[in-house]
Amino acid sequence: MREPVHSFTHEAMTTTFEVIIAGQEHAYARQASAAVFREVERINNLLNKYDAGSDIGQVNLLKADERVRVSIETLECLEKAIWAYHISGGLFDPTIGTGFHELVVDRSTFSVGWKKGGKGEIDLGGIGKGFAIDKAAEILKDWGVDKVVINGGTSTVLARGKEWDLGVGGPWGTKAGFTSVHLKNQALSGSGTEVKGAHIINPKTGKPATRHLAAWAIHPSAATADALSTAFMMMAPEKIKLLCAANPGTVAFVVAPDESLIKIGV
Amino acid sequence: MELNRTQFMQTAAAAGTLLATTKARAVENAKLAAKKNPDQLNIALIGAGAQGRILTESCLKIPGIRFIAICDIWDYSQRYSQRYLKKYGHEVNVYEDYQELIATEKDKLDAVVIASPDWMHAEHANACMNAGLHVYSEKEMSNSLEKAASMVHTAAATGQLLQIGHQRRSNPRYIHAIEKLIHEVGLIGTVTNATAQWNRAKTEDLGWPKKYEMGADTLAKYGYNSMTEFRNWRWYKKYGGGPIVDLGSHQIDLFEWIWGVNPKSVIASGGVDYYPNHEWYDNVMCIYEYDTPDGMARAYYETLTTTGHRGFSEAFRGVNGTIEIAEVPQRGNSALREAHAPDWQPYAEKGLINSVAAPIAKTTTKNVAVDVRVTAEAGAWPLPVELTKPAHQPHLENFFNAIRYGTPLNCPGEKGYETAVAVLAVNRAVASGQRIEFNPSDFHA
Ligand SMILES: NC(=O)c1ccc[n+]([C@@H]2O[C@H](COP(=O)([O-])OP(=O)(O)OC[C@H]3O[C@@H](n4cnc5c(N)ncnc54)[C@H](O)[C@@H]3O)[C@@H](O)[C@H]2O)c1
Repeated sequence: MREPVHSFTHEAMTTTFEVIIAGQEHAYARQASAAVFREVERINNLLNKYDAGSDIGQVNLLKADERVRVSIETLECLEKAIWAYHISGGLFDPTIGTGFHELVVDRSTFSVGWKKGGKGEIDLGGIGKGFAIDKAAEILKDWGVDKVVINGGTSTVLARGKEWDLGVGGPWGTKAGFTSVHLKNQALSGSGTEVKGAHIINPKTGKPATRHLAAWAIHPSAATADALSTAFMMMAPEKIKLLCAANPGTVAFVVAPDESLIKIGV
Repeated sequence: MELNRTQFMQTAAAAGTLLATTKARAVENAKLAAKKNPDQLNIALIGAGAQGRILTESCLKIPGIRFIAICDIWDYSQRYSQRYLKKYGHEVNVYEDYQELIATEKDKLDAVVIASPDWMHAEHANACMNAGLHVYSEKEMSNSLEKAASMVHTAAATGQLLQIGHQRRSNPRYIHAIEKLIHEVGLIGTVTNATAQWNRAKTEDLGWPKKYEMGADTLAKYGYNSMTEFRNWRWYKKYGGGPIVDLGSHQIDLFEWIWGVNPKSVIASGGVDYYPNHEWYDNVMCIYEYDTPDGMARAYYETLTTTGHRGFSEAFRGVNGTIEIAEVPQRGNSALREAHAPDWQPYAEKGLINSVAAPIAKTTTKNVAVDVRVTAEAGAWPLPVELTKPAHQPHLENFFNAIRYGTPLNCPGEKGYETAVAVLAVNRAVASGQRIEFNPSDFHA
């Protein structure tokens, strides 16, 4: 018998977040989803680069060789971004080539800033939604809600607690025959040329990423999946293979320019 | 560079930072105010709910602030904050009963931040001040004027500092708009009117995780009738003042700052129109009159909780222009010039405002004539000051600077009381359907 499922939406981070909860009464599911959305707002208030008072807003206003204290969540998110930056050979770059290597993240003083040599301009749009989803999922543990899907707009989705059958949108997925996916305690994130046109800029060239038509990453962490899907758009399939092999739990789907689907780590 | 004490305090208050050259002197001054080590103020939090967490996050960004204890009656709030603070290396003792916290920790503490529901502020704040601790208390001071007045009396009797959480009073954007542009420069001329609103889309009552449901006996022990009332206390008369107090108080507080006088009267309309299970009015509209040195001024305020239209912002309207501002700059951050007003370009050249944004053509379709209305509507002069911190941080910094260096508080208990008198009157005006006239003496606790 199918369990009843309740779904709720909320506008945040310039997209629509959706929470789908199974195995709970409607009223309780709604209250839990409200707690999820409050957490998304909290994270957005830390990471929103358009807000001069947010952590990232403040970091962007710093000059070279300056530091500012930030929240633990901002530290965590930046640490993940740095990991993705290194593992992708600098292709995932929240500063789009303006100086991510100048960033200093100092856990001991809870501060972030820039090295003496220079500074960049951070935009966590390529990881922030996934990060907010991860954090929001932690809140649901308190609520005893384990069977849940948290969807951050059209690009990143986390599925927990049971096997969820999720549709994969977008023309490239359809063309290449990648239209649905089963996820359990995993996140899927997609990047492509369809949603906003070619919106991923290759930090090395400053030009739109065109190596693939679309790329998806699956990983237990939504933040990681979010960052990797961006990186995969620019990485050669052999490099993606190495990355997936070195990081168990990572799966990639890539639509090559000839519209064929490359599956890695499946 | 040697600064005298007043200059130092002004600089420190303005810059929000400690100048290295004056540090030695500052430490000396601080010994007067701070009991222990001014470089490290030990603080406790009472009420670790939504706002308690926001204040905690801001405190953690201020150098030299150390949490040593928290108090909350709900284990869910206790756990969250204890875990959160632990991540920053602050090991705190956790209390359910504030009296136990005070008794055990008072010798180590300098100050307490209070973010419990409104009806508990006075009890918590008075006990802390009587134990020799400075207090930052969230607004509203109380849902009862007697209790609010008792806080002012205790502060006076004990000599402890009492800051009320109307954080716009410490926001450099508001200080620039009100003290610089309106008071000092006279940019918009005599301010004859003000409007402000805080409107929210309809929402459901707050819930709670099942496994953290409080037992009926614990709820009763602390005076809450049910879990629903405990979570949604702001809607019930026993614990809060409803949206006009919860939201309106921040903005109605600004009217006194603009005009330098408290209101002379208020009329209001409102009701329990939409949420039948709530006690307080979900939609309220009111008009205050201010008898200012420059003549009569009026302020319209609305708080609607069934529509989010126009969100939250304030407009101060003078004969030469209007300043539109909001705590979130995207919702308001500019001055609008009346066509007859003197040229504002000289103010822009002095950096007091930014140059007017060029009118943006609405359309490039070639057969559309010049849209006169669009041209006339443009002409918003952006305000140049940014707040590069979370919204509550400067107000907390002002409080800690008051402890450390004797910096004057931006919203001492007396000010918070004046606002409470003005705001709580709205609920009475709605209930009675009568215009309420104030005496100047009403605003003195
Ligand atoms: N300045 C602002 O911008 C702002 C914003 C929101 C709230 N506030 C104010 O902050 C205060 C708290 O509001 P909130 O939204 O965080 O409410 P909340 O219900 O989320 O949190 C209140 C907390 O106080 C605890 N509490 C209740 N009774 C207590 C008692 N007797 N002793 C100890 N703890 C007790 C509750 O368990 C809860 O954790 C209110 O006064 C509110 O007006 C200010």
